[in-house]
Amino acid sequence: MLILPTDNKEKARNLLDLAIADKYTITMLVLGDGQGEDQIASKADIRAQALASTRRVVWVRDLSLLTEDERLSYRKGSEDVVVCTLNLDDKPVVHLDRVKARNIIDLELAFLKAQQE
Amino acid sequence: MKINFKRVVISLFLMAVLILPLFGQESFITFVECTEEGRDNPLLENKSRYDVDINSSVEVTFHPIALTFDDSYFLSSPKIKRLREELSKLTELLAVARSDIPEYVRSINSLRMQLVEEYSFEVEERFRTMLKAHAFLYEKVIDILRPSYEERLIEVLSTPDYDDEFSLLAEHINNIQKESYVEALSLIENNELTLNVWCIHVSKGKEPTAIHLSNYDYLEAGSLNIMPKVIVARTKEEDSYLKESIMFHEDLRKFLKDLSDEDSEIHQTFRQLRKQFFSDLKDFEDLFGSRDLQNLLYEINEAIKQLIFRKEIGALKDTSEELLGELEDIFSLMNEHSLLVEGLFKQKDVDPIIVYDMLSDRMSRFDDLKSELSEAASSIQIERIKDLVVQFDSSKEEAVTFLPDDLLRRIDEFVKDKSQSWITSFSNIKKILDKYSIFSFYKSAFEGLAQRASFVKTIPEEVEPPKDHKPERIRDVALEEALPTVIDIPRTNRQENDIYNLYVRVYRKGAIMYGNDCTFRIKKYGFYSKWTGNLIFAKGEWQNSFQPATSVSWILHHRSRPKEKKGNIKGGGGILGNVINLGIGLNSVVFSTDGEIEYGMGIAITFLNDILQVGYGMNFQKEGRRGYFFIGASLFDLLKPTRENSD
Repeated sequence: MLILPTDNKEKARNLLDLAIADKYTITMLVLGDGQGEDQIASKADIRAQALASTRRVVWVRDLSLLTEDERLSYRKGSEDVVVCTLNLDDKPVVHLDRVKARNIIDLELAFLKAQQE
Repeated sequence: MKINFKRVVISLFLMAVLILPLFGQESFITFVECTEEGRDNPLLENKSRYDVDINSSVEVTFHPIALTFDDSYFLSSPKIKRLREELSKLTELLAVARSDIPEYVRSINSLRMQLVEEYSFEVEERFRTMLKAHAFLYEKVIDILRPSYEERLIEVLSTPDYDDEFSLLAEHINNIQKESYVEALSLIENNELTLNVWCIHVSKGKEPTAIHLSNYDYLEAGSLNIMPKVIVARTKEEDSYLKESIMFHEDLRKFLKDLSDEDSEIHQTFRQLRKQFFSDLKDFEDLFGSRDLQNLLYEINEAIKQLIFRKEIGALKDTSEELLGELEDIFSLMNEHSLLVEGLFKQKDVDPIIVYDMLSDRMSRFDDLKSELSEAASSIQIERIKDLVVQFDSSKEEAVTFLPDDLLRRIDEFVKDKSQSWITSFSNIKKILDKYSIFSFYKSAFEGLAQRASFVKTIPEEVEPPKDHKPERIRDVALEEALPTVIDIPRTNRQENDIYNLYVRVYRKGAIMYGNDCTFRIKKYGFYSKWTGNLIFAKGEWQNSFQPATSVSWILHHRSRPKEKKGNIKGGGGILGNVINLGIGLNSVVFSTDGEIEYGMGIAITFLNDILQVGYGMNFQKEGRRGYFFIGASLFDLLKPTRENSD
């Protein structure tokens, strides 16, 4: 799991861009910090390890890293969305709200959906 | 430590069965056809309809423990029932997933490395395809598992043991199945399940009847004409109620059937009564219709009009007018009775309640009239009439002063000549009235019939099974104690192609947990013969064309008994035995030529269950060329469907 630093925005942004740009990896973004996102990120990482070469979890704790367009795209304009899965073409495929994101089955399904699109 | 041996036995059994799941594939119900030759044919094929020999009996055996395995989903929770089908699919799916998913993962990892080292379009395509295949299979497993096994699925997915996660899932599924067995076994062990079994005999053209099943008498029973729906009787009270209602109903039907059957005793009795009734009616009619009585009464009336000043004679006049009116009433009432009695013999399905109501009403009116008439007739006693005559004589002298001579003469003649016939007529009326006490017999005969009919008609069309709110009424027939029973076909009034529907229900707290309906169709196997009456067209060697004639045939058929060979049922007739149904036999023809009757005999071959016949025979009353060929159809077999439809 890639946990983006909160004390160095530039570095964090670079790491995020690199992760997204990896065209052979399914990326699951865990967005935000403070209301159980750590547990969500942890569960997501367990499912990422099931296909470690191709799945990756990136925990974006500081949402100010994201541009306005990215926020709209990754969170669908809703602060309740805490997980967004990007397919191999870096397109957002699945958005999970806080409740769903706590369920490891939905996290697995989010990875699987992204694999198929 | 106290050992519960029952639990130990069940546990050992359960363990054994779980190790050998094939053992658990036995059906809950098994049937063995016992033939008259003493052969036992297990009806092995798992189906809902069996053909059995007309002279066989079917032994029905229950295997409660089988429900926990073969049909455990019936006894488990609805959730497990819904998922039972998915379990078998899932087992297969997991087996595929266990081998394929790790393979996919290895391929994806390998292809991923290749792509990083050196890009290739083909490799990327394969990489993407593998990802999709992996996702498709994984998603399918989750879709099936999730509705019922979410917790266990979460448990497996949360365990970072990726190589064995499908083994873990398979193990969980296995445990779920074991749990359902245990749950089902505990239901049986705790006597929470009850069993109902009943059998209905359906014969074309007849009412369906519930037949006797040893150990399961009338726990539930079938429909009859007045009770068109299935009655579910589950308490002892309802059992006896049902049994009584069926008996009364059958008795009632028998009564009506006998009434229309000319050979029956009751028909003969009623016929005799009817004859007597009409004979008596004629006597009455003769007396009344001859107008002697009416003329007499009229003459009396007319004569005493002139003597109205005499109180006694005035009273006599009133009485005679009253009598005349009442006699007319009685006459019309008896005519109604004659129509009623006549109607009873013409219409078999006359409703006994209506008959009884009519008879009761008319009898009541008749009794009242008879009583009044008897009273009136009694009041005009002979002595009284003699007194009146004496009084008349004594007053005649007074009357003569103002009455015309011819009237006086007529009155004198009347008193002297007619008074005796008047008295005789009243005596006759009284005698005839006494004769009509026979109506009481009619009334009492129909009273019993009407009471039975009323009783049957008060039976509700459907007795609802006890619901959950009154479980104490459920008859306690524990499934664990399910006894075998027999459908004893030869003890029933059966015919070929009759149907015996066996209904089996397992209840839990009044709700059906398991249901199985099996049908047994009666067939004749081996050699059997039939008589047929036919309309044929015969052409004799001495004739130029076919001529219609009637014939009777004795036809021999053969249908082989079904046998099981290598898991398949063979025989039983098939199209050849059941549809074409070839027969061969003897045929006797009646020729009618030039007003003379001639007989011939020959050999007939029949097709389509004897409907079509062809044959060749000899007319023994001809000389020279006596052979004839014929083709025809069985009248009875052709008319049977029409008759059944009209029924």
